[in-house]
Amino acid sequence: MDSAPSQFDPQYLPRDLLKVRWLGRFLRWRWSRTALQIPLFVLSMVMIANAIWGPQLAPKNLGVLLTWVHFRGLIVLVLLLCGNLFCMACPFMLPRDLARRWLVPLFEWPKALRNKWPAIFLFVAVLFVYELWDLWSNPRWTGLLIVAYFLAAFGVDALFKQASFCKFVCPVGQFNFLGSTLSPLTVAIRDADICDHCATKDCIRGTRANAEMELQQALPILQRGCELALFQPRKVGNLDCTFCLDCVYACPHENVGILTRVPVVELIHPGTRSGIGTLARRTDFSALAVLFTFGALLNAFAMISPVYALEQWLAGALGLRVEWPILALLFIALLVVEPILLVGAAAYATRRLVPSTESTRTIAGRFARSLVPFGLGVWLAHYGFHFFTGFLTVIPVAQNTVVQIWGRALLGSPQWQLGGLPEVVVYPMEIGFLLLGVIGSLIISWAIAAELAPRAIWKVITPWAALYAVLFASAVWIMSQPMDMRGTFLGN
Amino acid sequence: MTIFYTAGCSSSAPEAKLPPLQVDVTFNSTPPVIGDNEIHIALRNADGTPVDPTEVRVEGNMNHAGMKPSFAETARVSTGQFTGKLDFTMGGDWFLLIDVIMPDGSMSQYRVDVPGVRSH
Repeated sequence: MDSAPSQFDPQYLPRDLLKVRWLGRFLRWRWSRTALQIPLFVLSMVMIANAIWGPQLAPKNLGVLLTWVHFRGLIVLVLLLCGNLFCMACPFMLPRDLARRWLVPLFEWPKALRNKWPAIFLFVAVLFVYELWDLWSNPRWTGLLIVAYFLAAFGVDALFKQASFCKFVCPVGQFNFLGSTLSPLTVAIRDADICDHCATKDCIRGTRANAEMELQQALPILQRGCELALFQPRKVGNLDCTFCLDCVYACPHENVGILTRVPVVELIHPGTRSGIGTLARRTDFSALAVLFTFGALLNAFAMISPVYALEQWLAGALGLRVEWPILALLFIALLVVEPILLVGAAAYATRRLVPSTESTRTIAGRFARSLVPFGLGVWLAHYGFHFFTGFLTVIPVAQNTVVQIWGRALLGSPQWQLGGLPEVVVYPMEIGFLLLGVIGSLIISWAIAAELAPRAIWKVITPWAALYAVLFASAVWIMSQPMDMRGTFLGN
Repeated sequence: MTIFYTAGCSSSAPEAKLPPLQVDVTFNSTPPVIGDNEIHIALRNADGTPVDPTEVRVEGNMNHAGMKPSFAETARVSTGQFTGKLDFTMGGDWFLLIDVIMPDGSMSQYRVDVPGVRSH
């Protein structure tokens, strides 16, 4: 198969969002990110206040509703339709950006942790506590989680240089990075020739007060460069990109834009990527892709009846009456054992079908990134279900919140009849998202297969097609079960 | 018939003046199922004597945000006994908010948990 289509292929003419009339002007304004962050920060404060001090009934709590229904639903939809706009407008970075006007972080992020393992650990931790403490029905804990997130972001970036929190810690950020590999927009250079002749490399080094090279290190930075170590000419796709646009503002040649592109193709790229290296050789990225996908299935599975039957059976078999060890067993089974078995089997079969000198583990590492499209499909189906069936409930909940606070219906009487789309309409959308994900995963698998064994693509891809068929069937089964939200361990 | 019993727990609404009531809720199926269920509500004072409110309103909610609540208007069957239809739109844990309005206009709200609503 030919190498990934270049954005500078004459047949491929990307649109540049920065050249769109009003939108481009706004985004080229170096305070545009702050302008987006401020309203989200204010909204976050409202959510925290309402979650902690508002009605402790989840369906009547604005903090819970906006967190678990609207935020989650919009994140996946915006990733699919645009790009990593949530990281662009991230309110958790606003206090840190303000503080860095006075606070100078002193430390480099520890070398041993310059990988995705801290974020993977936190991702699993968030999924775990979500199930253990039923965060979807617990306003106070939801509010405290948001507060903890602000404190963690501030604390990490107060101590450590660059965007250490975003690159190495933030679980939501890692989710967005993976999801944005399927986005139609990317921050990229417009003309490679211009970068080839650039001496200052401001996009990554930042712009200092004096252009003379010998004084560079001593002078204050006027505009920072990429804090996630993505050197624009060598950057491939959206992984690790927060759409902060620092590179846009720093580039003295105005050679960085927000360009349209073919989604998912970046996952095909076999070579090195700035700030990341070679994906197939990054075990942490492979683990993240696995977690992203199997975590999606686990998170959806935990909302249907069979999981309660399974928990009851496990509790009976093991004589346990507390939830956390049962949940831990489920997590180990579905996030560790199941992927090892399924992905391992596909990789082993590939190794046998196409005699390869590569180990099963290496082959699994090659193909791990092909999981990402299907993973996003599951997240879209699940979060999309909650969002589309309940997006209008924000109106009566907001109206009710105003009544609770001010004692008067300043926004009108709560319109509790408002909900969202009926399930009969949303269900086909869920299946559509799953199909989209499977198709994306098969495309990536095909490209990887062609790279591994150009003369035996069908042999190589067959085990992976079988894997995606199994995952697709399980996801369809999950989405077809009636939702069964239980707040009590072991059901009744 | 399964009885879901709660001691009267009034809301913090300023107009709440009622002493705590015993609120017994039963459904025509055990446990309740997705769809319309007949709901029967029996209201008694702490000493067991029936209470005779003007109106009893029922709001059903799931404990997950983003779900549209279900409402039931009830009809008085006899002193302290009300009946109506409530639509459980999904399986899982629900809770009911029962508004009891007395002839003098005082109103209290009581919460009754209805866990484990099943699909058929």
